[in-house]
Amino acid sequence: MENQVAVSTPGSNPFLTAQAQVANLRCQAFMQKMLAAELRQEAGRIAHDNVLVKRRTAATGGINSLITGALTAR
Amino acid sequence: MTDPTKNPNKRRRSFFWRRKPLQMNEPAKPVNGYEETQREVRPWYRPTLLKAAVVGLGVLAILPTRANGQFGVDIAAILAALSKMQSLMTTYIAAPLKTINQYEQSVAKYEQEVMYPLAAINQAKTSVMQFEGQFNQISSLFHVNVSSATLPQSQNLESLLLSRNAANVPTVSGQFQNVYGVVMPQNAASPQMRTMTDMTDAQAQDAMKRAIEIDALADAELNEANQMGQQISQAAPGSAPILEAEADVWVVRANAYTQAALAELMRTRGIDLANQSKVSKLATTDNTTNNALLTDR
Repeated sequence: MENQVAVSTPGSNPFLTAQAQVANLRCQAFMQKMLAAELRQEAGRIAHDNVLVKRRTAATGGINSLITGALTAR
Repeated sequence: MTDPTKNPNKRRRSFFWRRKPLQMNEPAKPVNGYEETQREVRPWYRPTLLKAAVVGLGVLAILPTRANGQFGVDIAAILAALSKMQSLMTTYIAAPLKTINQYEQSVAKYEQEVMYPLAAINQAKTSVMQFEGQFNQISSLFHVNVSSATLPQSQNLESLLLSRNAANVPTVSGQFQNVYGVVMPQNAASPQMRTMTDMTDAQAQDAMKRAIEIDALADAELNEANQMGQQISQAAPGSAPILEAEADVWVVRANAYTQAALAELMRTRGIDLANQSKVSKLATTDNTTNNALLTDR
């Protein structure tokens, strides 16, 4: 595109300018797709961390029940 | 009774006549009662001098008073004025018009050879079509299937996240809970832990929903860019700036959507940092409690 701009005339320049803006729009769209992928990745990561917290809590509750049961039995 | 107009003895008189005096030496005519009656009774249609004068005056009153001839002093004056006008137009109008015509021809030549040469315009259009082809190839790369989940529940959630369809957003929460579970029951964890877990789940679902929306917006922008690219390749030098303005407006909107996605990403990372901090705080509290218990014994 830069080479075309170098040999363009005032009459053909608007075509290249408009095409550059369309390319800019496409770049924005691709950037948004990458951001969406990053959002999915981050969402999955914090969801995964949250699942670990849930499991730790459940495990802790189970251990507490076992300990309480053991102490109560004695 | 005999018709007087058909009387063979009728006395003929000229058009202009005067009553002649009665001559005494005129031979005596037989007294005829009929002739005497004819002389005294004059019909209205008999021409008289007075009638002729009245008719003449009427004709004079009806006839037009003035008429212009074809040739005369007026025609000569008109011809002279027209000749003068032609001379003036040749001097003061034709000459400037000729100059204007030459100027317009030079401007048209300049525009055709310098400003809007057809070869350069066609070359620019060819370049636009080449760019469009390259971008179409790049766009096809984003449609490659990247789904990787193997289990049914995770496959459902992954297909939702990669659907690029904003209509699927309401079904994300159910699929999310199928994969990542729900918040702990009320007596299973402390309120602080339950609140933190609920907020983290909410932010994770928000980010997933926003990702679907951003994907759909990006697809709409790409479709619009494809249409504008085709219009540019068929546009005229005067209409190309209009398409450029339209593309500018779309770029502004795309920037806004990109900023919205970045904001969602910042919220997600902020929740992650807050969770780590909260875990540290809870651990510190638990350690303090445990230390107190151990110290007492």
